[in-house]
Amino acid sequence: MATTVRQALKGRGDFVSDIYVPDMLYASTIRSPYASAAIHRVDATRPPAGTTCVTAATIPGSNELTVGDESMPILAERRANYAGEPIALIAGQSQRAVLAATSDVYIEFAEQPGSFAFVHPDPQRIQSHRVVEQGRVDDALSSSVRVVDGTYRTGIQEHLYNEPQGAVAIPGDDAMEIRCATQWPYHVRATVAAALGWPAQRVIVRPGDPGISLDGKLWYPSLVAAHAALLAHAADRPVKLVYSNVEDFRYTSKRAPVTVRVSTGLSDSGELIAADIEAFYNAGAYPLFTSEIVEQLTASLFCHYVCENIRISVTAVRTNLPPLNVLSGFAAASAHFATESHAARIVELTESDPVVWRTAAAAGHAKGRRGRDTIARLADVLGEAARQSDFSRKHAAYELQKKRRDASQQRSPTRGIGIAVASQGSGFIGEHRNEYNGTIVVRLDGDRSATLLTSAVAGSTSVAQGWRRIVAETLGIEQQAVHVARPDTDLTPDSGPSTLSRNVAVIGRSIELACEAIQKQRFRKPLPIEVRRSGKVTRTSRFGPTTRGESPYGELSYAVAVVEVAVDPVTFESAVENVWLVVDGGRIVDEVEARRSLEMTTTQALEWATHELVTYHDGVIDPRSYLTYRNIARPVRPRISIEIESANDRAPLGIGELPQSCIPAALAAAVSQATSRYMDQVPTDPQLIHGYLEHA
Amino acid sequence: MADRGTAVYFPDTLGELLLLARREPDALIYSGGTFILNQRVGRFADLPPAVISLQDVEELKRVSRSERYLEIGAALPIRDILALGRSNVPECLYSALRMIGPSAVASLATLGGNIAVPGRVLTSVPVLSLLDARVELRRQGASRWLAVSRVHRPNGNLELAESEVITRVRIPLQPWSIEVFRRFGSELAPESEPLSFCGLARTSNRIIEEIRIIGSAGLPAPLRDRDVESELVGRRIPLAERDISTAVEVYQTLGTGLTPIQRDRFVRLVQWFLLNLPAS
Amino acid sequence: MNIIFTLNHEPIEIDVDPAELLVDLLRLRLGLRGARPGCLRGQCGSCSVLFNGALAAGCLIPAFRAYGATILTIEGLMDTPDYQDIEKGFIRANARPCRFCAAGKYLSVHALLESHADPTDESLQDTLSGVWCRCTTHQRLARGVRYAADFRRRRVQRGR
Repeated sequence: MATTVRQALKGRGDFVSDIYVPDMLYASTIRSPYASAAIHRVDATRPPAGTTCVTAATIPGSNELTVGDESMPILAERRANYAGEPIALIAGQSQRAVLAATSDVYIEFAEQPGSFAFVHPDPQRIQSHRVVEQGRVDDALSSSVRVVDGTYRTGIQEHLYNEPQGAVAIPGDDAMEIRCATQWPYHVRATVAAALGWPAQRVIVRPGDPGISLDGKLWYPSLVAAHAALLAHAADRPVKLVYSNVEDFRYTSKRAPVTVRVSTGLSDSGELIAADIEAFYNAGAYPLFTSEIVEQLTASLFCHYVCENIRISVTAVRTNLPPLNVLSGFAAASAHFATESHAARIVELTESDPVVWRTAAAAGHAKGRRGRDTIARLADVLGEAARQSDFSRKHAAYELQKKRRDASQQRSPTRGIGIAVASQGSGFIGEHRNEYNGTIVVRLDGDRSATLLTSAVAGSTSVAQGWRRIVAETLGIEQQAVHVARPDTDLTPDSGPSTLSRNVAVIGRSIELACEAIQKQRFRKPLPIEVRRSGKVTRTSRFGPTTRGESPYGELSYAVAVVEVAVDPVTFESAVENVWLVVDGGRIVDEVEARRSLEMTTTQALEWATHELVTYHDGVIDPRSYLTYRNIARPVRPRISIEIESANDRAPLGIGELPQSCIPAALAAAVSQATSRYMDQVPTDPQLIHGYLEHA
Repeated sequence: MADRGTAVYFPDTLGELLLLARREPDALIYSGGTFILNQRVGRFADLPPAVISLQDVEELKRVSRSERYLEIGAALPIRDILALGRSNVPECLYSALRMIGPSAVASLATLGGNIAVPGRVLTSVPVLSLLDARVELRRQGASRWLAVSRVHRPNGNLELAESEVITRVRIPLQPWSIEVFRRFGSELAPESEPLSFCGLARTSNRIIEEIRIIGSAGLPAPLRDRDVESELVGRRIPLAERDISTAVEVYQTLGTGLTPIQRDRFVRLVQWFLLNLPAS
Repeated sequence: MNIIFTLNHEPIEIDVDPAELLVDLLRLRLGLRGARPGCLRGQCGSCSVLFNGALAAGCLIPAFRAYGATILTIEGLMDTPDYQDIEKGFIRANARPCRFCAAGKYLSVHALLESHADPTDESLQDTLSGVWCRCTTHQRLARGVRYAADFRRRRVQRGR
């Protein structure tokens, strides 16, 4: 961590809002009020002297922010494709001056109908469509004894990081310094350089800490940084551009909503013999990371359960909403929700035991030693979660209560318990999986101290401590003697984006390799010794029909969640009473911090599962909904019990996404049992419960 | 947006306040200001040319309690009302005030400010109405009392004359066998489908001596039917199924523009309340 | 307009725009950046200060209201034994707030312990729900507050 809490409290942290540079201008973004509109004219000649205005027409370099082979405009030029899309930028001496000058920028729009639907969309709106098929799905479905259908939806969720998006751009001699919080400093550099029409080396990014950003600061900071840099370049003065929290809430990227339709055929013993799965996700106006999201959805849907005849189709759709993509991962959580909710439905209809059914359905993956090991680990966490929560007994008891209940007379809380499985891999698996760098440098100095140079952003004390521990243990030096240099694109190598547990699996591995190399040299060569390594994970095969049953990640971490709820039939509120989470995460470097982190991500998952939902009306978010988004009046505070199973003979694995991937389905299953209605959406909020109780 | 020409007055006494209010009839009477600042658009408070701040008028922050009434100064922060404790503040009002906001808001917000918002019925109003609370309205040379239930006209405007200031709130104290308050969502965010419910009843020897029920969706028209309440007085507990369903049928028709969940929550809470009346 | 008030135990006289928010006045004009703008609606706790002894949202206080007030910011608290008690309590519970929400949490807990030496569950809930952050669970924070209350009690008993 670059700064301590004390430094932060004294305003000497690295928050953008704390940065004040002499001669600095304040900036604001002028946005489209329409979700879909032609832009006929932008007149930026009228703002008063002392203000600087930038439009698409005045961008010196490229007007594109690029991720892989996809891009979006830095400033809209002839069309606005979502409400809030930036069209012009303005900077002035004070916030008041900037606010006043905003109304002097004249934009002529012709509003057009927007498109917001994404399930079975207009073909012209399809960004990507991928189908994986194995066996003879249609035949198997027709000959099934029983067909179970379901549609599962996960909604749009806001990252709600503490510090809103912002950047400070400081022009210097032939260079531009950028200060912003980002998970991907080199992407900021590339984007800003392209916008200015400069070689990348002239842009220096010195990132602050993104904090608990849930991937909300993966790529979006590059857009804000480009905006600040364009203004700074035009004005030849430092510029600070910081969004307000409400502005950030209304206009920035969020978790993409996903709808999954599942049709499964069962044998007379309840065995899964066919599955036809269609997933659609809303990518917003400018899809980014499409290949990765599509791949993760494909790889995660029904990945734990064997089915000889399976077809998975994933479609990414463009709509007139802001770019929608990542939040704590790339849509795997949505896939797991659909899978586990459907499994719960099968279990209920076949009157099976939820744990027994899942264990049996997974058992078919036991091909070879690796497969058998996987099944053993899965069965282990399932069994442990069931044991700790007394799941089978409670589930049976609540089922009996459900059967005896007269719903129309029910006035006291009803109870339910649900269970769900999830897995998590580390790193990218999509088309661009081999393109992301993971380069680091370790230097061992003569005074038995070491320095780690990486542009990866730790994001938490525990990750940085984990890196330091690897260096210290491998080199046999004190942990206090290991220094992690501040990320700086002028000084630290390109370590790629800090997402998908790459900080643990990729950067951690790079550090190990570098330190091992130093160890081999240290008694033959004089100090200091500096070694550069890149722990790029090369995945040669894309996930496909012949690889079902083998994870494209290689090694996976597993988790099982059990959630117990009480539902109030008077107010339609569900109170989460107990949560059990059992995690098999490979080698756990720091169990205390891992537990703390899992508690935190469990609470985040519960908040998503119970009430967090962003709603657009004709492409626009009501600003007042920001205040009620977090439902502060009734916070989620259950008893949380976490069990971590650590295996020292395995590599450290990412575990941060696991709660988001299993808790929502476990909660939905619990509420389903408590209400005798199938809950099939995230969030499973009072509005959903009310809808199903009153109108089903 | 105000510029440095905004004149801010700091009266020290109620007399000075009323004089200023008469001289500056268009001035903003600034109590806690939390609602005003919550509604602002930009980074600065939207202040008119004249502001009269109540921060130094101690007479508006007094509390007095007798056997019959609790009187609270209109400019006393909510936090200080809560500090009086449940033994001094009616339970339903205490519960409602807790929900006005976190501590950092409750130390600024005031009861007078919570009542006097045109077009919006904030958290305390339905509860105070149910308790038959009254506000004292004063202007220079005149004072009157007005039921809280009449402060908001049907069109949302406030029943306040020019230069009138709310000075105190008088709350009758009565023993209740049951007091219930629930709130969902926020009146400041319609999308949250706000609803507040308050129920009071006094029972003795299994007979209902008095019963009052109110709901609010943040709009001027409350969800209340005094005829139903009168009908229930004198009934035995537990109430007959027929009495409950008759009452519920009436409550189901109250209010316009309620969303399904607002209406269903309100009706179910009424039903739950009637089913759970204590014997004494 | 010209206002006079007490800030972190020192008298301040300053010319202000009456409509300016206190949080901006502290940060931009007085160089105190511990309180930071967040939701700007009083809900998140980022801009918390002690205003006349009570926890208050700096984003809901226009500058004119500071006239005659006594204000304590996190900068005025952090070198005191009260702050250290809270810090030790959080460390003991492994509930250290992150750098973003720390100011709000420390001031909120300090305000709570000033009025409730042994906080009830209800007062804890009211206090902690006023500081938004995804960094720590309520349960862990509550443990930290109870440890802090204990450290404070023992220090006071020792007469420090």
